[in-house]
Amino acid sequence: MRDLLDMAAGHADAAELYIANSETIPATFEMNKLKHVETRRMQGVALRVIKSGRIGFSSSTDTSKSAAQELISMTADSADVGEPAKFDLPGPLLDGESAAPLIYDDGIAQLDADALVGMGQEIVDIITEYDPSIKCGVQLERKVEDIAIANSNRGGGNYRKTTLTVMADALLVEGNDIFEVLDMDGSCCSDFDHRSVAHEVLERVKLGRKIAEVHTGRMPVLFTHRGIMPLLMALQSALNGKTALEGASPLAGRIGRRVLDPRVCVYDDPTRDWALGSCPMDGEGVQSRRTPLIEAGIVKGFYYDLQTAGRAGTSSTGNGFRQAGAGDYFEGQPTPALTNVMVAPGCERLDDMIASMDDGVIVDQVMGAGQGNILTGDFSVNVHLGFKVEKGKIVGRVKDTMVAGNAMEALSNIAAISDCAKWAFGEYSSPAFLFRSLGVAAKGR
Amino acid sequence: MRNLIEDALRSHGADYVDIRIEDTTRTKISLRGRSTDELSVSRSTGGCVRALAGGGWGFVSFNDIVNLKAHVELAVSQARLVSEANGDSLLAPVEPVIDTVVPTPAVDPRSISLAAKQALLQEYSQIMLGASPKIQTTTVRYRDTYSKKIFASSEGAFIEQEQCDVGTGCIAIAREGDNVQQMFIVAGGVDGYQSVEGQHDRARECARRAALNLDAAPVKAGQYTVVLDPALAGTFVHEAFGHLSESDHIYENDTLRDMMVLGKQFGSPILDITDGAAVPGHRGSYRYDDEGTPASLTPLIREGVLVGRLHSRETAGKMGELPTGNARAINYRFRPIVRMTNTYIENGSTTFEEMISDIDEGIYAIDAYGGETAMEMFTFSAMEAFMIRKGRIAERVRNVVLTGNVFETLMHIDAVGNDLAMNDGGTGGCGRGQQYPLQVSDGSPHIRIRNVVVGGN
Repeated sequence: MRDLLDMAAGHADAAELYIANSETIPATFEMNKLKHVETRRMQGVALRVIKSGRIGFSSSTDTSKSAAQELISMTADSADVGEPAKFDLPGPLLDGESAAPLIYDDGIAQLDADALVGMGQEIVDIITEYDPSIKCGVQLERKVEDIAIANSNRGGGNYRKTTLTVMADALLVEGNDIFEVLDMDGSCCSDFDHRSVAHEVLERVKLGRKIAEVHTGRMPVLFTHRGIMPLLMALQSALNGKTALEGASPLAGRIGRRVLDPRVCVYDDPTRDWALGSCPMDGEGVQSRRTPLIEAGIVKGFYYDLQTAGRAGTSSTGNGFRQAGAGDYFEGQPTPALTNVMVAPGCERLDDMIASMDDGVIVDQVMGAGQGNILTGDFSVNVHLGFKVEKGKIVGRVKDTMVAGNAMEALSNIAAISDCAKWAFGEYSSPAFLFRSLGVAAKGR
Repeated sequence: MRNLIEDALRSHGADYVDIRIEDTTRTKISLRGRSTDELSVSRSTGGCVRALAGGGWGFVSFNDIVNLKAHVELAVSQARLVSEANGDSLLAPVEPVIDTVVPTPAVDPRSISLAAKQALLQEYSQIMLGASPKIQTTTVRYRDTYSKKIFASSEGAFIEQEQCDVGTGCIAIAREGDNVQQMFIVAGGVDGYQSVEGQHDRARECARRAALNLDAAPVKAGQYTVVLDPALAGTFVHEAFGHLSESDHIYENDTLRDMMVLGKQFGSPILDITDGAAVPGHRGSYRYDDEGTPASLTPLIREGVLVGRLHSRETAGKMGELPTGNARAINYRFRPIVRMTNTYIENGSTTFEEMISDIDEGIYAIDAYGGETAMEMFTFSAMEAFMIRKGRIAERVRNVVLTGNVFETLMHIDAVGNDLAMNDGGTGGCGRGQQYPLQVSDGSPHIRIRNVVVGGN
């Protein structure tokens, strides 16, 4: 690694290497039966240089010495037309600044295909024991990943991370009605109980056996920790340093101003032990830290990578991550991204919140979260899984229903926030939110 | 390489093994406003082995191609593990093919310099930024991919295919106070770099329309008669019907198979839907899929009746139907699953004027932001929309997101135009599970649908 870095640095003002190696073992059950066992081994290297003040970047899956020359010349070509660099690569991490989160567990690294198959079968058994007519799909994935970052400023470091993720869905078909409940969760720690995913699925299958009528109009809408996703996506977009820098964020220029209900508090925290998004440093070797984004409804700051922070005249928040499609994320240049999004709980019991709804809808899973006008916070989503509430009681599942509104407006006009934040899809942790009045559109029958 | 592969395909002890080796070079450029946000060249070389033993599947993907023999052994041992629990996987027969396919792009994107590509994107960016004082910023993305793929199987197939895909997307973001509106255009295709050139007028028009959308009122929630333009109707047919015709959703579920039985009336008699990679020249076109099955043209709906579906070798074998060449993998890291290729509604006979003339209050929805499907439910959103009042196009509205249920919505299509157009290009594609973005195209003439649920405040 040092050799390649020295070679690259010899042709440039500064150089950075990012090397990823991983082994993923997925075990997949379809229609209650084991269907596939796989092993995916991935390796990749990305080289970034600053040459004559400009950024160059390229990547390859060939980490051998013989491929180094091609990588260096591809990077040099891109630097010739690259953007002026507005940052210096970080120096060595300071010891004791903050402890690195726990993200490696030998218990997960040792899981083999046999063990995953056994765990998957347990999930299928829990769900089909309740109702044998349910068809389950389950996917368990165990991943061990090694990341090494080194740069010509003696910065970077390396870490090993283990993750176990579990996805389960239950499918019930009756006539032309297809009823589908999904869940996903995971951890870096082998203490994680994979069976919890089965119970989360079953709990909602039980609530949704009956279909309930919904009318078009404005009504109270409760979003569970899963259902709140489209609103959090709008906040994530608005708090992205890049969106703010370009003036495309509705929160641009509003640091220190109250923009949401004073009960809303959102931060990014890659330092939590065992959480799926945790890491000791970001994809640019900047030390991980907890970043407050919204506190008491007030904008505390945006999240940044090195280049965006440099352009905005501020510092990286340790949110520079590499992203690209279809597995090869090292192909992507660092860009601002969140890790574990933590939304603080409120103080009301979820049961009381539901009991307070006279005539309304609970949204638990949505479809089309990313297809609204995310920049303005406007959302308009299909309720993939939701329930009708009448006189404080859940009376059945809704179909062919949409819920629309504006995330910023809704989050400024909150009726109640539940006292318990839960992880959703292993990506973020949020309580449930009840809004007084949102637009609901439903199919007349 | 051929020797290495053929050697690994000998004496593996499984019922069936296939090997895919890929070498892909990709250039990505992205401008935000006037500055270059991303500019990278990447090279990805790797492969995968899929094994079927005792009716169980194993799969291994890797970058160290030299150790192919060991990867085959691991895939076979995984297949045996699956077969102990469930050994009923099988493959429909397909004649093994030996062939070489080399594309002939008019202008090879690899012959164009990074500086020239960047300069073209700068032109689009400048044009959009200058189109209206209300344009806050722009994003212009470009991506070209050149892949060399080898498919070889223990049945004797050996196919070398090269594929070239070029795409661009230009996004204009208009702002007035808290109101932010965005629109985009896409261009590109499989026939060369020239397909992303010459988009200047479309880019200017896109920015102008984004600015106009600032003054549009949000649509009122309700049920409407909607007329979809060919671009949005293409997204509609992909989301609303296409995903449900991917047979791996249904092939092992008896209830779903009953629901999707061939011969069932699915839509109105004026509706014909087709999918096929054998239509040349589109983003979803190819000669062989990732199981070595030749591409075909599959009628899915004829006169409203379900007449076909998309298959891999396994789904075809399990359902007693013929493979259609729709088993596709996004790259060598994943096993092939059933995917769409080029999916479209065939031409009908109604003109656009006839379509809107008897609508008292409806919506004309144009071009797509995106869409999503979950079995029979789907949702998709229009980039631009107008109310239709008393048979005429009236005021501009925004936030038009449509939703429906495939069983009702296809029945409610009561007019199909005669102006079929395909959506090609862009830097995105279709996503299923972790496999995104897969190159597909979709298309349609204008269509009219009754009773569509539109979300709103």
